This record gives sequence, structure tokens and C-alpha cells, in this order.
Amino acid sequence: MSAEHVEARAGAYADSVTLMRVSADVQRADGVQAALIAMATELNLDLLQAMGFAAPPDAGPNHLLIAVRASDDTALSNAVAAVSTALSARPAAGHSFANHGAEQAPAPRTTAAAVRASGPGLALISVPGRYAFGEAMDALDAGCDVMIFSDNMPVEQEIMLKEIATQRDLIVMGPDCGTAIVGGVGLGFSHTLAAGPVGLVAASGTGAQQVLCLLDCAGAGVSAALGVGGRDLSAAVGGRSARAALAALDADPGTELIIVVSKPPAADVATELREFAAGLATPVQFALVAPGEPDLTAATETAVRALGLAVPPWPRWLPQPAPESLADGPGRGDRGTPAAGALRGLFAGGTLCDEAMVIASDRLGPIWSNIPLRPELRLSPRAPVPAAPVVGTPVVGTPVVGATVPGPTATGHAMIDFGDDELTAGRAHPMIDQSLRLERLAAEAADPAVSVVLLDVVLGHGAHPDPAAELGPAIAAARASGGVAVVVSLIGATSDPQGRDRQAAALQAAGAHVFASNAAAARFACDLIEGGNDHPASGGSRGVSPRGGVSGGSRGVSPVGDLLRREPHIISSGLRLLAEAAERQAARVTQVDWAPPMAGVEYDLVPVLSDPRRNAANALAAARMLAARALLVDVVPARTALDLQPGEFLHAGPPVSWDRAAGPLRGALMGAAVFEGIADSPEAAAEFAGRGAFALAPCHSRRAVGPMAGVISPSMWLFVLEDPATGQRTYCSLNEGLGKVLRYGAFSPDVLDRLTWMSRVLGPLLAAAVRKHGPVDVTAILAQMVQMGDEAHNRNRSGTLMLLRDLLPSMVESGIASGDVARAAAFIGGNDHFFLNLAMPACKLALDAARDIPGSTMVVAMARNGTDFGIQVSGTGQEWFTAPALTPQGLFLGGYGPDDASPDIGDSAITETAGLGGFAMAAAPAIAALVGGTAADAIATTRRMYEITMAEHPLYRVPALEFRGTPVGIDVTLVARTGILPQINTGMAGKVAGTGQVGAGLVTPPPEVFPAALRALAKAARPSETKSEECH
Amino acid sequence: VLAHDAVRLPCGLMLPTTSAELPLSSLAVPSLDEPSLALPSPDTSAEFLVGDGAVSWTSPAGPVVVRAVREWAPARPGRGEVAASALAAARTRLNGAGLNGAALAGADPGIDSQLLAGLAAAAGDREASVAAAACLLGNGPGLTPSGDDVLAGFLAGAAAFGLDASELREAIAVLAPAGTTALSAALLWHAARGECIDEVAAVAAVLSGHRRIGAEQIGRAVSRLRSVGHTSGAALALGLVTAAESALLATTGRAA
Repeated sequence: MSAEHVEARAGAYADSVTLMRVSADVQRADGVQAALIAMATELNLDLLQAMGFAAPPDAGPNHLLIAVRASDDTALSNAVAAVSTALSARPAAGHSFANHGAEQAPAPRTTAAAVRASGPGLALISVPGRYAFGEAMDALDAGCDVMIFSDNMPVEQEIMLKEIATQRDLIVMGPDCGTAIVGGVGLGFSHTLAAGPVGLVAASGTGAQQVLCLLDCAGAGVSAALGVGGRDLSAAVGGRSARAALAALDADPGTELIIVVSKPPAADVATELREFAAGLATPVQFALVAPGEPDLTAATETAVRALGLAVPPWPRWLPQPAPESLADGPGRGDRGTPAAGALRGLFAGGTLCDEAMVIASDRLGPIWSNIPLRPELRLSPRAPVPAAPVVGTPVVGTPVVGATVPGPTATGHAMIDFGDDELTAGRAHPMIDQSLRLERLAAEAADPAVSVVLLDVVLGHGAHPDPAAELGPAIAAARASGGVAVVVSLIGATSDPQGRDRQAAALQAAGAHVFASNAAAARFACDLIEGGNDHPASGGSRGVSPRGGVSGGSRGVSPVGDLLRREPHIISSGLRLLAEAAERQAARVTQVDWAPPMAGVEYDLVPVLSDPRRNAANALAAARMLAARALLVDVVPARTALDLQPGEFLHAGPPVSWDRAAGPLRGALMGAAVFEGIADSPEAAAEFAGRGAFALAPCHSRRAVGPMAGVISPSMWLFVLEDPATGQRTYCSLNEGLGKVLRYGAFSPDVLDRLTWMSRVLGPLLAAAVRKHGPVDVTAILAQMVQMGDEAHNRNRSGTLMLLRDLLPSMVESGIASGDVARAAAFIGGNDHFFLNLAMPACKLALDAARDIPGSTMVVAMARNGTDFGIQVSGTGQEWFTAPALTPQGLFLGGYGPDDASPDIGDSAITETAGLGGFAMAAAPAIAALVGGTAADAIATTRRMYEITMAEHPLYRVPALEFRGTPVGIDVTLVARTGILPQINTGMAGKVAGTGQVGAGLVTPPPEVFPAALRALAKAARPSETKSEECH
Repeated sequence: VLAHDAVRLPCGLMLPTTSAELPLSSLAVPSLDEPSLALPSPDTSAEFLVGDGAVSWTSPAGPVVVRAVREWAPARPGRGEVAASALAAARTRLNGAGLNGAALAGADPGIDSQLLAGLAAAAGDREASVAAAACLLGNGPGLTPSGDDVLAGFLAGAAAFGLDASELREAIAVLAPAGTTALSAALLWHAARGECIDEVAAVAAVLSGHRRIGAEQIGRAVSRLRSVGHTSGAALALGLVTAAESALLATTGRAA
């Protein structure tokens, strides 16, 4: 009997390498029969079903699948608990030593947040390729160089990023940049090498690794290796990063010789690059993997000689008993005789595969491959290998006619690159996960046509921790089963964590012929098949000499930032493995706690993030918002201030019609109609409204805001706030207090009596007081409140008292009857929320200043009407992006419960939009208790909001955060990327009209509004200013 | 042992942590002579082992082992010719701050304009080189005496501006092991190889005018260098500028 657990966990994310490790660990646990821990991508769901599990409903790529089958319930629950423990090890901010002083901040969720927290550095991006653009733009926006390890990034995105980097004097290494060495730190698949005079520009990862390891062997140190990505030298990308890398190395006084390692570039690009290189003060040597070019080993030998060093015999380890001594020519096949038959190359490194094909096709004829030298030799990596083409004897460089159809007689030579995208989708690179290669090795060994198998084993940081432990037994088994000879090119440096010599010894002991030079390995394999005796030849050397003496030569373009001058600080998003490797090399590493963005936003993010107007537009929006000052200048009836006519009503949130209006809004409209005298009773008002007799419009459409239902009718008195610098004004009604009040949808006689008193007594009294006192500085009160325990949404106690302090003398001196003044003072002082109706229009004044800036992604309004939640964005004008409002969670008054609450309602989320309310939660620990949280939750809430905002408020400073300004300026792109939703503190209204307040709690916008806004921003985006190159 | 954000002394063992994350002072052994020094100085009785790829000592907080895992390449000034206008701007900046041979003498009585003039004559001259090295080496208080810093600045400048300092390098190599502190001798060894702190390389770069640079940027680079250490930065700047002036003089002399 066995027990099963299948779960799709929402909101959990871990990178694929971490998940594979966890899966493997769980599979090994006692009693576990099968386990799959993976993100619920289509591929993994298929895999789940293939393993006999039922796929959980609604599982999508943002869910974490945990499926375990165990022998009994105990083993099962142990295994599931172990998974949770393994996955809960989240990275902390900064370095592991960094536990001094202040409380640990949460790990940053984006590269932008990481740079903000721990300073600039080199962004190392290994998130899935379709999400990499956002992280890369973050880095470029922060003035950081970028290495994109991820593959599968669309080429248009690569061009955009590189163009932007060029404009800003930065470099984008990649995408698909597997190798780099910066400041002595090996990044990606790389090695720790001695410092020295050679600089590498690498459009090929494993090719660069081969050259680096041979240089290491020859005792030549390396100043830096800058990968540029496999497509950089294509016609489309035009070598943008290669030029930047060459310029950077040329400007580096530590670099005396530059080697460019690449597959053959596009012809025009090659010419241009050679011209560019010729203009540099530092000599540049090209190592191109192509027919007619010296192989990588020969090119390295040329470089070594140019540095004045001796070329050593490249190491080789031949199986014991070796027929020849170490440095002599190649040995024979395993059975002591050359074996005619097919050669099969099974490669992890694409360039190593290429190099082997160039060498072998010269000797053995055409080689089938999934990355063929010529298109007609294309072979599906999963199809059987066809016989050699039959027409003529193919010569390298001439097209082959009549290539045969793949057939059952598999006799041709073939080489497979297991690192090609087609074979890595949904799994780790073969340098980490060797399983496909091991399977194929067994299959090839069993094929009687095959006589020699050629493999590469790449060591170094990021690679499998002990490849020989898996390959050794597989090689021994392959030789035993089929009698094939196995030849290995072992790419490693002496200091590699796997131990190059130990790996070599293990492979040798398994019977493999092992070579440090891939070219030598390929030639040896050919020798075995041909029975020939060619010695690995060194390629021709070209006259290159390292830079020496004074060279005042012209140095082309201005060099890339500080990449080669600074001690490296790596900001890593994606694979934890890569960050750990850099940490082991004593690099300063900041790990981004990255997770996939909201579903489906990645395509809209690209045009929005690359909109050339965005940075300036957002900076302008933020500057205008933060510069705004709000003064209370007057108190007047709405009919005067807004020219509101009888029958016209303003309400909170985005537009809504009576038939869709929620209970509290209907209740407030009914009460307001009776208050205005246009209906005799609430019921009559409802009937009028149902017939369409009332004109409804959002407060926001008239520069006003209203809390909860937010209903404003002509007779209600409004606060008038003005920015003295711009003369702009905003408006808000007077606060009625808590409990049964109109804004919560109550309309009983006492509610209406209070409204009448407010318009007959309170409004005129406040107007007289304000006119006598002069303008009241609302912004200044807000700044003080935040340091007095208020967050200005659900707690306004100190603000209310400060307002009263300012106005009371003028109220007393207004000449109005002392009884009225006393009642008004008691009413204001007894209503902790009185100041909310000043905080809200002050926030609106600031946000209105940030409106209508094309390209800006800042949210300028969040508002709800009890039915819909809507946002407006600076760059998209008056358009509302709406979705059904959520219902808050929190505490309830008296006997009310969750079933009594109306969905979220009110314009008061304008406070959160302006950096107060939930965003200033850390300033108001008392409110955290009211809404069911702890003080620590309050601080964590504010900290989380920094992830989705573009600025910190210079006036609203939070004591508990060492007087850091509150997070402000919600960025639609950051919400979409992180999935972190703005946190709103709010009151809760009863859902039945007439009920009033039922509680208070926390709520967020419905997530859908942000992708909708992003879509509109994408449509309005201006294309990035990329120089189009006519290369198609 | 240097924090990640410290001045990158070429002989330093650098940590991945910043001084805020791991204050080295918390691991230091108190020293009477150098209360501000982060690490034990040789005259304390603290046990202090260097070797086998690691530095280890016992701090008040317990044993500390710093293990070397990779090499880093110290800055080297780029090579180029001195731009007269840039040099003038840098000199103005130094003089404007009251910084010349005489002013430095206020802090370090051993260094005066005459010594600097002697150093300026050292390029390609064996006798002048030996004299300058002998006068400047070990001249001044502290672990890196100002005289040594002036020499190190001059060597960096010589490497940057193509001044023949082989005689001076040789004289320093002979005299330094006995003539100054071990730390300072190590730094001079690096200086002779053309290696220096980033701040020196930055000033050398603006002086050679690799890039067109305004007076404001030159000022910033000079200020950054001057802010290094107590008087070290100022002394390095003086040495560097002295080398630049010698190089410029040699060029214009040839032209004339």
C-alpha cells in the first residue's frame, strides 16, 4: 500500500536547480517511492501525470507542485515536511555575516531593490529568459553592468538592452552568457584563475573555458573574461557588446593581450570588429571556431608564445596500461587496434562540439548534428543517426547534395550538443544534469555501428560537483557492453572545486582517453577511427605581440563603467547555485529573492520598461508629487466649490451606475437625497435613483475625494485645499465621525440630523475660523502625525488634535455663539477620524500634480465604489483600470462578522497611493493591533511596499525605520513584476444599505488591475530608440 | 586585511564584507601605538600567523582566520602622456588646498620642497635616485611614512607617464627592506611593479587626459586621493604630480 500527497502551492517559488536538488533529496528519503517538486509548468504537469499522479486543478506556472508517493503515511508526512523545510531556506539580505546592528531587512525582490539596498554592482541574471528583461533594465537604470546567464531571450530584447547599455556606457554580457571572469571571480560556468595579462572577449562560453583552462595550464594569468552571448556577433546584434568589451579591456592597464573567442561571426560584423580591434592600443587575437581557422588550442598556443611563455605539453591521461608515455602521440583503440566505425560525439559545450565537428569533418567526412556545420546535416537530437551522405565525397565548404533520409541503418558520424535550447527546456544544463547524456552514452555503446564515443567534461564553478562519479561508471559500462572506445576532453583549471586531476584519474580509471585539449581529443578520436597516426597539430601562429611600453595610441569608444576597476559586487537574480559559487570565491554577493511576475505580463513589460520616456517621466512625476504642499484655505458648500446642482451626486471610486452600486453607496445616496430634500424618504430616493433621476459621477472626476461611499451633494460643506506653488485645488467633505454615518451607508434620522447640523453650524464655523486664522498647513501636520503614531488613514488622532489646536482660537473669536463653538470643538476632538478628510485631499493634491505625464508608470489614484476597485496611472490619463473589489479582512464591531461586510469602498486609498495609510503602517503600531496584526507585521508591511514604489517621502519619516521616508509612488511595473500588492488599511461598511460601519481591516487591490494598466501603458509606449541595422 | 569598502592597498587581503557588515575593529587586537589601527601591529604580543594561504589571529571575540581564495589585480595607472592643462589644474588644486612641499612639512617635518625637487631629478639619474630614496625612505611617522608615500606616488606616475624610474626602483629595492616598515616596503614593492591604489590610478588617468576631463572632475579625483589616510593621500598626490611634472618637462625639453 502506498500513500500520496499532491499539492499546488500558490505564491511559492524556487529556481529549477534548487527544486531538482530538493526532489533528489526527497526521492532518497526512506520510504519514498516517487517525488516531483517543481513549478507547475505544462512540461512538469505532463511529467507529473507520467509519474502516475493526478494533476491538481487550477495549477499554473506560478504554483509550486509538491507530489510525493511513499510506502506509508509516516514516510509521506516526513517527506512533505522535509520539502517544506528545504524550501523555506530563503536568502537573507546582504551577506551572511551581515547580522550586525539593525534588524535584518527582507531580501530584495528585484534587482532595482537590491541595488538600492546594497549599492551598485554587476547584475548576474539567471531567471528564465522571458523574464530577464526587467531585471536587466533595472540594472541599466541603476548604472550597473549586466551579465545575462539566461537563454531564450528574444533577440529584439537583446538588441534593445545592448543599445541602451551603449548609450549609458555600460555593458550587457549575454543573454546566454555562460562564462565570465571579473575581478578574478569566475561567474556562471567558470574558473578561478591567477591574475595576469590576458583579457578574453567570449561569444562562446565553453570555447572561452577551453582557452582559459589552457592558459591556466601554461601559467598565463587572466585580467578578465567578458562573455557577450552567442548571438552578439550575429548580423542582427552587430557585435555591440563585443565592442564594449574590447574597449573596456583596452582601457584596462592590466590587460596586455586580448583574445576574442567566437564561432564565426557574420561577415560584416567580423570586418567591422576587426577594424575596431585594429584601432585599439592593445593587440587583439581572434580565436574563431570555423573551418580553415586554427583550433582553440592552436590559437591559445599563439597567445602563450606572444606573451613570451613556453607552450607546455597539454595534459592527457590515457587508460592504463597506456601503450605510450604521457607526452607522446595518441594511443590505439581500446582493443589495441584502430576501430573502423562511427564516431559519436555527446557534448555539453556547443563550441566544443563545433570544434570537434570542424576537426572530424575534415578527417572523416560529414557529421550529422543538432547544431550542424551545414544546414543539410541537421539531425534531430532524438532521431537515429542516418548513414553518411551517399553522393560524392563531401568536402568541407561545399554543399552536399542528396543527403540521405534518416534510416534504421545508423552508420553515420554524429555529434549532439546537449546544451542546445531544444534539449535544455525544462531541465538544467548538461554541465549540471548529465542524465540525458548518460542515457545516450549507453544507447550509443549498444549500437554495433559505433566504435568511438567522444565526450566533453567541463569542470569549474557552476558545473556538476563530481561529474566523473556519474560518468566513470557509465563509461566503464559502455565499454563493457559494446566495446566502444571513449575519448574525453576534460576542460578544467587546476584550482577547480571538482579537482581536475582527480576527475581525470577517475575517468582514466574507467578506461577513457582523457585530454585537456578538446582539439587533441577530437583528433585522437579520428585517429582511432581512421587507424591513422596523425599527431595533434598545432595551428599556424600569427604575429601578435602583447602590449608593452608606452602606447599613447587612440583608444576607441569610451570604456565601460567601472566593471574592471572595482572589486566585484555581484547582484544575483535566479539560480542560487551561481550566487553560491561567487560567494565561495569571496565575492560580495547580494541575492535577489526573485519570483515570476504576475501571469502574462512579461510581454507588456518589455515595451513599457524600454520606453525611452519612462525614467524621466517617473522622475518628473515623483518630483512633482513630493514637491506638492497642501494648505487648507477655505470651507465652502459643494454647490459653490464644485458648481454641483440639485440631483447631482459625487461618489467614491471609479464610475458606477445605480443598478451596479453596492449597498453602502446606495444607502448614502438615499440618505443624501433626503438630506437635499429631493426625496421624502430613503425608499422614495431609491425609486428615483432606479429611474435614473440622479446624475452620478466619481469624486475624482471633480478634483474631489470622499471616504467610504464618498457621497457629496450640493449642500454639503467641503474643505478646500490648495497648493500655494501651483494654485491647484482639491476638495473633500467634512468627516461625520464613526459608527452609523452616511459614508458607511446609514441614513437613519440621527444621521440626517447630524448632516444638517454640519451644514448649518459646523461648515460656516470652520469657514469663519479658517478665514480668520489663515491657511492651515496640512502637509506639515501630516509630517508630524507620522511621528506621532498616525498613518493618516485609519488613525488620525494626533492630526485631528493638531488641527483643533490650530483652529480653536479662531473658532472662539469667530463671533459665533459659544454653545455652537463648544459643540463643534467637542465634535471634532471626539472624532479621531476628523483629520482623514484633510489627509485625503492633501494626498490627492500631491498625486494630481503627478498626473498626465506620458510614459510614467506611477499610480495616481486607487479608489473603490463598493463594486469595483479602480486605479488611474499618470501615463494613461483619465482611464480607470477596474476589477471587482475585494472584501477586507480584519476585526468586526459588536456582533457583525465577515458575512456582513461590503466589498472594499472609498477614495481613502488615496492615502496609500501617496505613501500613507498601509504604506506608513510602521509608523502606527497601534493601528496594526486594530487590524489584527503585530507591530512587527506593521514594520514588515511598510518594508514590503518599498519593493513596489519609486521614491521615499522626504517629509513622512518613520521613527521605527530610523526615520526612513515612507515608500511612495506605486510603480505599475514593479507591482506586475513582484506580484506584491499595495497594502490598504480600511474601514468596513455593512453590505446592506443603511447598516453603517461593521469593522476595520486590511485589503489589497484586485491583482488584475495592474496587468490591465500595464497593457494600456504598453500600447501607449514609445518604441526604444534602437538604431535599426539592415541585416536581414 | 581589508573590508570590501576599504582603500584597496595592493598588498591587502580583501573581505567580501563591508566595514558596516563586519567591522574589522571588532576583531582587532588593541595596540598602544596605533589606537586607530584595525589590526594588531607587530609590536603587540598577540599571536599572529601568516602563511598557508591564510592570516589568523586571536581577537577579543575569538580566533579569526582569513583564508585567501582568489587573486585580485591591484589597480595600475593607464599609460599616456601628461596633459599640461590637466596637470596645471591638479597642481592648482593641491596649492589651493595649501598643499605643497612646505605645507606637508607641517604634518611631516621631514618632507620639504627641496626633497621633492631632488626626487624630480631622479628620473634616469642613478646618483639622484639613490639620494632621493635615501632621504625619503622611512621619512615620517606611522606605518606608511610620508616619504614612502611620496616615492610610491612618484613610481606610479613614472609608470603612467613613461618616466625612466629604473634607477629609483633599484635604489628603493635595495634600501627599503631595512629602511622602512614592512608594510611600507611591501607597498613600495607593488609600486615598483606599477601597482597602486585605485585613487592614485584615477588621478593618473585624469592627468594623462585619456579622456577629455574638466577641471571639476580633476578636482574631484585629487580630493578623493587626498582623503586617503591621514597624510598618505596627500603625499601620494605630491609624488604623482612631481612625476607628472618631470615627465612633462622631459617632453617639452625634447621638443625645445
